[in-house]
Amino acid sequence: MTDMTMTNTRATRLRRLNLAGGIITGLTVLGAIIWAFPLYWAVITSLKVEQDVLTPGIQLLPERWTLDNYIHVLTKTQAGIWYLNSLVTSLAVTVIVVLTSAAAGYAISQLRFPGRRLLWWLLLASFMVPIPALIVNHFVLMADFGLLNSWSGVVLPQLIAPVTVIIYKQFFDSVPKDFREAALMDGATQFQLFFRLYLPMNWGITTALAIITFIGAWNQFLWPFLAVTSESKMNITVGITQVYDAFGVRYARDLATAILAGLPLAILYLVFQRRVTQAIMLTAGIKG
Amino acid sequence: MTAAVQFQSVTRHFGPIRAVDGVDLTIAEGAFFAMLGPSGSGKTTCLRLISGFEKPTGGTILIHGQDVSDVPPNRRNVNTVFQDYALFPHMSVRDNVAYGLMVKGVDKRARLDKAEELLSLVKLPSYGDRKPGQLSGGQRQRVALARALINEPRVLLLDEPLGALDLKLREAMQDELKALQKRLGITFVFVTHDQHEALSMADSLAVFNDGKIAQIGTPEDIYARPQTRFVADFVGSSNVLPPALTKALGGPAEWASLRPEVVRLAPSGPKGTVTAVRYLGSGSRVVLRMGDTEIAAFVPAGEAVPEQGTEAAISFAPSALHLMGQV
Repeated sequence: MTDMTMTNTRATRLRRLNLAGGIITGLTVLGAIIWAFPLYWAVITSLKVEQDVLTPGIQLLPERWTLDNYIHVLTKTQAGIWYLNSLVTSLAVTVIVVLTSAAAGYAISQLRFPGRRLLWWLLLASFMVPIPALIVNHFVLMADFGLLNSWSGVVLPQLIAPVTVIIYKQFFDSVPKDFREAALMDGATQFQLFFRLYLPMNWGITTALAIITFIGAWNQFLWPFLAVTSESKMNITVGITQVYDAFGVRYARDLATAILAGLPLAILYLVFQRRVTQAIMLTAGIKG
Repeated sequence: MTAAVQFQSVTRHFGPIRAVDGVDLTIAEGAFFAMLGPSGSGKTTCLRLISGFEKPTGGTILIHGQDVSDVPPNRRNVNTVFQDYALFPHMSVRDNVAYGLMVKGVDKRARLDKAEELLSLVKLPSYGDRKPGQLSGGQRQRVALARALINEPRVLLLDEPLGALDLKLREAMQDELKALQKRLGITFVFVTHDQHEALSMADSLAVFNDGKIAQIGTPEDIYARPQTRFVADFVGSSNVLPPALTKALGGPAEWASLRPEVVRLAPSGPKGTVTAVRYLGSGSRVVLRMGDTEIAAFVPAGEAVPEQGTEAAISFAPSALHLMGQV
């Protein structure tokens, strides 16, 4: 009898668990739909003929499918140049930030030199200054250097990356000192230690940081918007605003432009999903 | 013959802590020398002083007659096998072994050939393409040895290299290390806290305590003729007898040591109460309380073992009683 009661209690508990699990799953799916619907709507609208966009009622699928909006943006605007500008500046920011941050992280973590602690505290303190607060200074500085309307002008202010330095320092700190000593006994130089030991041993974090830096640089809007006025030097994020200006409110074309701007990142994310998540978690942890 | 390593009144202080305190030490060339002691006794610091990763606070260190105070680790012609092997996880076994030659700029073909040669020496000839993570503990240990030997050091430092291995593998590696050292003829300086390992492998050894050398000598000297109570106790868990008990057992009124394996139970003789009995396989260890002191005796397998709480008498050869000059 007692056994039967226990079995019944267990079954009831399992049913409750199943019910709770079902409700949570349902809510999660609902949340995902709510989140994804605007994205879906944008894609669908960009594949519609402009006249159909303003048709009353909700059309979940286009009546007339067309790629004209995409073809127009790619062939009749400077989107190709904007892509190139974005690619060059984002790659430059990524390579320089990763290399300098890794080198700085290595120096602070592994080398002993006067002012090391001060440098570390300065890095930590730099969190307290929001980047937008520096934007006027950056603008004046770039103008004085004559770097406005240039790739260098877009890139340079984006190279301030204390979070990346801190993450590298923490990872280099965690490398057991035996590795370092084993290499030093064999006569390895600091250069060899950095490039042949510390960087390859932390390749995972380097990939993650490179991806997140690239995404950040690609998505930059405010600074490239201020630093560049010449249409041929614009990044894709700034360039799409020109499409809007030139043709007025044309929803299908505007959304096609926006989707084209975000497409490389979406692909990048899909390919390196795990690394991106890792990097976001790391930077979130540092930023608290 | 020039000593391989010499310490002349070497000290190493970390703030108020005297990790190494006035150590004088000579390690003969080609010797298998062990540094034995409990954790924090200064043995690993001494090893790091030889390797150059620590600088002495005072005193002089000579390697093959040369004062190495200002010589960096890579110019001392020594190398180290680390406790956790320190194999670079992103490199293949072959690249790990060849690393020392790579940083020296040796041609790729030559260094990989040499790496293969060293891998054959440590009996891992077909493991070059693997990553360290694909090897067992014993195999990693051999790779670490090969890597440390590739630059042909004259002194090889081994920092508890067998500590991470299971007992059977450790015993096998002890024999292999000893054989390898004989074959290569280079000086091995071996740090361990395992007295059995030190006694079975070393030609000579130093027992460390509180940053000082408590005793230095051959394994037989250290085991049979400990000079201090610490050495007697640490190396082989000897019975340490206070003067009164030494006298009661037939010796002079001095501190003495008595190895448990020479103490047997007898029908008559000095008596004590059995407080513990432990089965060892080859026999049993019986602990008797005599006054304030506990004396361990050995009962070979097949002989009667007394019950705990009963009285038993002990006997031993008078020559087995080793009088200690100090305590």
